Amino acid sequence: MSDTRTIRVEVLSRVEGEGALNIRMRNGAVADVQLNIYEPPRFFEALLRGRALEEVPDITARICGICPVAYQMTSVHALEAALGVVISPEIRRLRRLLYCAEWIESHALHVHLLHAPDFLGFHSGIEMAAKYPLEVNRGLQLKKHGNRLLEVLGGRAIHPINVTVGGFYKAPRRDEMATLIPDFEWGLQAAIDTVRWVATLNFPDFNQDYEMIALVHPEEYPFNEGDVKSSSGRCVSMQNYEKEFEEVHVEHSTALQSVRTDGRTSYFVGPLARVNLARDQLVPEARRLADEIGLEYPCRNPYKSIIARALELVQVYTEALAILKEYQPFHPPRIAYEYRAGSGCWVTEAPRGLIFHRYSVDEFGKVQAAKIVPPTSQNQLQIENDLMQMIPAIVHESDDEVALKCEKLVRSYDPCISCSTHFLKVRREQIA
Amino acid sequence: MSKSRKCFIGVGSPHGDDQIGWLIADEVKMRFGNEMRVHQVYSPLEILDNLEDVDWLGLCDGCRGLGTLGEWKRWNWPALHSVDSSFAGSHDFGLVATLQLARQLERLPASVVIWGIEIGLVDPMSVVSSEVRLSIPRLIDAIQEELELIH
Repeated sequence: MSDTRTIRVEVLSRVEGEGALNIRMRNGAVADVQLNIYEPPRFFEALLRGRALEEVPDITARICGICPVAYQMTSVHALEAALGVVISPEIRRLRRLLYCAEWIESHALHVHLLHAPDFLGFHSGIEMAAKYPLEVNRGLQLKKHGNRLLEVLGGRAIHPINVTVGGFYKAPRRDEMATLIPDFEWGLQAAIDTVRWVATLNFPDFNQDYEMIALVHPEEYPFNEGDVKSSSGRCVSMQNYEKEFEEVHVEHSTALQSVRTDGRTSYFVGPLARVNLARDQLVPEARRLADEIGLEYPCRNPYKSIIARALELVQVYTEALAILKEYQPFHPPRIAYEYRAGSGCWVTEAPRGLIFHRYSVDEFGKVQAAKIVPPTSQNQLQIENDLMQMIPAIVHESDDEVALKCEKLVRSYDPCISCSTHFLKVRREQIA
Repeated sequence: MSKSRKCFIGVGSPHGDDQIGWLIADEVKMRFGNEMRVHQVYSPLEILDNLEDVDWLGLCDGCRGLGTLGEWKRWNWPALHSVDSSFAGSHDFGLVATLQLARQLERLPASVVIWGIEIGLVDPMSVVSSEVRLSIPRLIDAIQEELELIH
């Protein structure tokens, strides 16, 4: 008679994608792990069909409240590729600044309030705040910088409205940008302090032989331009993304899982992949810090993504400061274009990893087809594989402990489903 | 209590009944703006930016589950503390979670009063319902009574 133990995390609550976690063990061995995303599909791709292409950036921004920039900017780039729009260097720099803002607010919050409590024995950032007020206040302050920059550049802190195909509706004023500089100078030092702080955390000894995937560019840290590179050494243009990766449906999840087309294997996207694959493009201070804290290269421990995020805070504060200091208003803020039938795709880096969009438009500027591959769907199978690897070592522990450790591992990926810092409810089920 | 040590914050958005926090803040500013600082915020987390040198904090936000549209309720902070905060991080850092965080960071004023108003539709850019709008005068009277108590 087989002994089956099922650990069921019924609700991953307060998450951008609603989900659960089911772990089934048979005779002490892990039989199956399912990251079950059961939120009804939102059909954004279908919603976009027939819409004027000018509506796309504002609609795609609504996919996520924490990384709207990545969604709207990837759509803008893909549509510009379809239309043959070539933007000016000034627009390009402002777009990088927009990415800096989003990474700051997203990373600052995740590092200080969502992920750090896992390493320090707290159930939440709120609980942690009493013992670590300096760090929590720092995280809140950094997040505020990101939000403020988004307001100045994007018109508002969440779901920016100043982005359009071809550029920006309005270039920000120089004085508005200049007022941000003192805060960003403080923020850079705070980001450096954050790297040193997270490097002191105790990390579980969990190293896997991942295939890491990130955008790479010969001259800059990856945001919104470059090629798609694998830790295996393979590197393809973003136009070939769909030849390398495909989305598949799995029965237990309403979210599609993205896999390698050859072999349907999992892969790993996000800040740790970026730091591993684009370490040479980090700003000198971030590279020096990585060396100072002894971050191994390549690093294959997903828990150390918190270090990668902190290093990226140094990266984006440095770049944002440089852009803010040199900024001069420019004209035109957006490049004119004419409608033409065509198709275009693009890849950028959201705070939590690679994101792909493809659009086809007709000669009247209407969207005929849209495809959006978010980072979380790309990490989903990798998360399941990680759990399969980790659980045998903790199988003797209580359901609560197993659930907690699974939750921590999931959270290290910063999927949108990690919004809650205490979201697991576990039910044990014994089947004769 | 001097003007600088009292603060009233309305939490809201431009959408339907969710405007009520801002509308109340507008009215409070007009009626009592000479004796306190008044702010409107989108996100509860922004409350943390306005707590310096504050002894009395008044908050107003739309909520659901109180009863009929426009019905309102007053809480002192410790009473609301027991409400499930469902701290959620990036997307959903609610009012109670924000106040809990402020308390943990020792930034919460000595006195915190929260007024919650039952709201309905919050469709983008829609107008506030007449039922919710009708609550404004009565709530302003209640705030005035509260202010008279702390003078």
